[in-house]
Amino acid sequence: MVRRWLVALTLFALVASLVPGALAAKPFEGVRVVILSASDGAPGYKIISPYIPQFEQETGAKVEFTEMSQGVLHAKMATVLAARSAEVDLFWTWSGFTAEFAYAGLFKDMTDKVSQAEMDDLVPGAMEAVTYKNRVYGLPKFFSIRSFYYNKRMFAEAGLDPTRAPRTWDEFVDAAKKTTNARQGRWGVLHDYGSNNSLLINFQEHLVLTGGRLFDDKDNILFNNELGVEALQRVVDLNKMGVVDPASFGIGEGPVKRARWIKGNNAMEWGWAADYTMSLDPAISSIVDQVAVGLIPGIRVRSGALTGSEGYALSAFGKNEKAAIDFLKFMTRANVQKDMTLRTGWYPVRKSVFGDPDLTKGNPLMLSAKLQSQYPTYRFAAPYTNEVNDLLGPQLLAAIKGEKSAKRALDDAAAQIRPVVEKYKTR
Amino acid sequence: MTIAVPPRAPRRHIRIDRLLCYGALIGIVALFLAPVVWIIITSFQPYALLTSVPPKIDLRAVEIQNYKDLLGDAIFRRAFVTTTVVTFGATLMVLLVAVPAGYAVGRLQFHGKASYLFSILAMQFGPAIAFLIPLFIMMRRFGLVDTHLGLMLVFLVFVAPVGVWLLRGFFEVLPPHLERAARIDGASRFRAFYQVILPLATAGVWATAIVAFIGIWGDLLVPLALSFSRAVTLTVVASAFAGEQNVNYGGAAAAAVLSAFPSVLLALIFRRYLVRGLTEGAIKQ
Amino acid sequence: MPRAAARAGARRPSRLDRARRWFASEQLFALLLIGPMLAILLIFGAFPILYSLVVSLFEWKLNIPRPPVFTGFGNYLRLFSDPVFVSSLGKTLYYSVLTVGGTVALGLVIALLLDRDDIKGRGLVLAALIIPWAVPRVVGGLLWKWIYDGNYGIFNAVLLQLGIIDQYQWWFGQSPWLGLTLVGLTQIWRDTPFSVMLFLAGLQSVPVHLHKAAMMDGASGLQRFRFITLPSMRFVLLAVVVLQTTWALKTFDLVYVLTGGGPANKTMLTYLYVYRQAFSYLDVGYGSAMAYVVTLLVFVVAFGYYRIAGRMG
Repeated sequence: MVRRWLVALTLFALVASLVPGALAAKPFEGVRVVILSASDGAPGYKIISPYIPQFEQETGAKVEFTEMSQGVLHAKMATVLAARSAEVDLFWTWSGFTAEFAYAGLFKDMTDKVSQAEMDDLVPGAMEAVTYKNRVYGLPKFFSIRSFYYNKRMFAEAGLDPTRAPRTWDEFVDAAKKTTNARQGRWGVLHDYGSNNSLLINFQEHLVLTGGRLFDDKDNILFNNELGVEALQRVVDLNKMGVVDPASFGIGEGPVKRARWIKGNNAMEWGWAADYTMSLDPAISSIVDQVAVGLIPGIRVRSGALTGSEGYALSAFGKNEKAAIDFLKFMTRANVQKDMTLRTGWYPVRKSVFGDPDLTKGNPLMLSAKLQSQYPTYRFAAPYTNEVNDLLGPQLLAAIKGEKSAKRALDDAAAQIRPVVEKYKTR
Repeated sequence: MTIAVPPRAPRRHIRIDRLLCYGALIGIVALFLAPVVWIIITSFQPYALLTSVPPKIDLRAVEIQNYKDLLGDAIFRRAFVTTTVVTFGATLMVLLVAVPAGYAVGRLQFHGKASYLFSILAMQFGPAIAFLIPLFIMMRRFGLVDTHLGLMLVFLVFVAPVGVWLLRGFFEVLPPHLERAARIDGASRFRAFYQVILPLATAGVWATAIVAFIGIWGDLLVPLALSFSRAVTLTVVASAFAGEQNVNYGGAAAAAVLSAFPSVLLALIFRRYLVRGLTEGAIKQ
Repeated sequence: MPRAAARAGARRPSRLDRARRWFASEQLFALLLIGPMLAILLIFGAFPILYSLVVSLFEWKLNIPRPPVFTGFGNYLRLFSDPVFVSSLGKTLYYSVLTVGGTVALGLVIALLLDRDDIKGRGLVLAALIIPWAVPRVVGGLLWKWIYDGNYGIFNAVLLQLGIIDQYQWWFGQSPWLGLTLVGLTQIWRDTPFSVMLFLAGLQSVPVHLHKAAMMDGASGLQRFRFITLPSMRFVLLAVVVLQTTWALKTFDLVYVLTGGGPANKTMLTYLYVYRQAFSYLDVGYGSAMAYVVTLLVFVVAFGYYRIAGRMG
């Protein structure tokens, strides 16, 4: 008798425990969303992957998130495209990838899936990462723009005012000369000429400061005009003065440059938000609380900056489009974005989050990013980004090393790049 | 054979000579092992020590955090399982294909043997990169992209020819007429191969297995091109640590140690077979 | 010659007879055994090779949504005017000479040291040497990348300690030849153990009595090496040179991890450039043409060896 009751009770308990789950029907129960991503950040500073369990719990979907290097990711995207494979739902992207793969037909236009209200709250510099020719192919994971960083201690030691960032190019050059002491291994400027990619980024940064452009909207080459030559000439001159850290020739853009920066041998650089965030971590940084932020000193304009936002784009062949879009929207939610910014220091993609007092309090970066965004911004993106990278990079380096004049180097690059770009024009 | 050399008083081996020889060998071994030792040390050090200049080693600061992080990472764990499954599976498949074929080319006479051997050799030398795009398209057709089976098949394609070539040498050196004797005793051709010859060539089978294992375990190009998520292997995960975007030195070191460990361990255990396999395979060509 | 023909003529019927029997038994059995391997060669070997050949005759970029255009040998002609490709050939040549020379010289020295009768612990040394060889190439690359690191690398620390440099250097940011040499050192580190194994096997097959006889004639160690050891090792030597050369031509993992071909394409080896064309620029037509040229190079080396070996053996 007791046994029978016990059985009934157990059964009841089982059913009762199942009911709430059944009531709150999860929209994507059993759906597998495959995301191929470039690095999501250093351990402890992961950007979006920490929120995946929450998304899985809410929707019932199973997310397979794989990280790889950008080069590997690009290769994989190529193979997926070649095979029109349905295995992947979302790809990591930045504006260059978006241009290339939207043009190639790997990314799916989802412009009509984003309402005007949503659009109005998204930061334009972030949407850049997932937009090509005014069509939207995904949503951004963070907003990124370069800022000017300088080492207050080194400024003070060189007799410069540590509370004032250089405002003009001449002031910048002057500060670079004063803070350089080659014998002690101290250098005014840290650049990144170590890879084709970083060389091009460095050149673009100077281009925006002269008001130049790499290409016009019709894919015609602009980078060897007088603005382009001036931009490159400034880099060449800086190197001639001996104020650039020679390590710059060995390091690429990103974390390796950051690792160099936080060793405290360089007075100035311009870089992404993480360059500042990492400098605050006493476990790895020897310049804690020594870094100040300012506007990037302009050449022909007051200031200007490169943007570098990242996001995820929808695969044209994926089979779980609804769940994938749901993930994109989840990722850009205000609370997710706020938490992400608090943890990692990358800027949020929502205007409404940008003004959140919790974020601006005690963090000069948020304000400076907002300020910097008011000046011209630029990031070259075209279907032929990769080829331009690898053809322009070596010529830029040749000029910086003094093997060629700036004009000659850019003309040579133009001659090599023109036929490549032609192929993309005739569709 | 006579050699025209002027007669000279025979020199005795003096002890110094031998000591020098030992010294040189110890130095060489130290040089070859130093990078391995250094990466192992690195993998157990906290970031602050790794980034000190000059490098510091503090045995009291040894920590296993890098390994904890790595093993806590679902992608790494999955890659480890994938690599293990694919490598064992593919090695087994290589043996199943290469042992009979190696026996045939080693001990049987048949039409087209020369061109068959030629194509096997060509396959061995052909750069994998030329095959990857077409292979990917084929794998796609069969629904094998990003699957364990797909990777195993592609490895089979690349490694089986090496196996055949290797095993041929091992079968060839066995005394002739063994089969005939077995046939006279009433064994079928297959039994003569399976029960008489094969047991005599086990060293070759082991050698092939270990050579195949190490080759497959360490390959980057194939999984780089043919898998994206479920079938990503350790080498791909490790290569991500080498990206420009990485300064997680301790994590990279731990990933390096863990992805090399099974391969190195097996190489040491099956050292004798490995050495025989490599030398036979190369010299018998 | 006439005698052979006469013999063949005389034995024709029995030979035919035998062939028939042979076909029914051994031929069929052999076919059965090589069947799976043959199928793999035909399906996964022949098809991709032919497919690549066809693709190499087309202008086909995966990231341009346009059907492939037939260009005949256009892609092959383009190779000669591609400065990166042309310079990559020179760099690959340098890299091959460096790594082949390094692995052969170092391998020979180690093998000779190990071959001495009065040396104990040969097994131990060999076991230690197997470790670098069993480390996957990518991992080898990772390991050396860390050693060469410009911020924290121990290579810098050691050179600084020795007073050779006065500041940490970014080794791969300097001359391309230095960069390639450092990548080459990594390959030498990893592949020399293989040469050692082969040379040791070769040395042990040198007839002992020859050495004894020469020693009685009063030959010096160097003379014995020159006149006895080297001639009987020529086959092994050739095998090592050819295998190392094909590996050098096919170097991918190491340079991919250590330099990625940079900075500014200056350490771009041909094989890596093929990968770059196919998987980075998605130019599968041009990439396939390049892959064919590399394949041809490897085959020239491999079959040159095959011929020489045939003449020698």
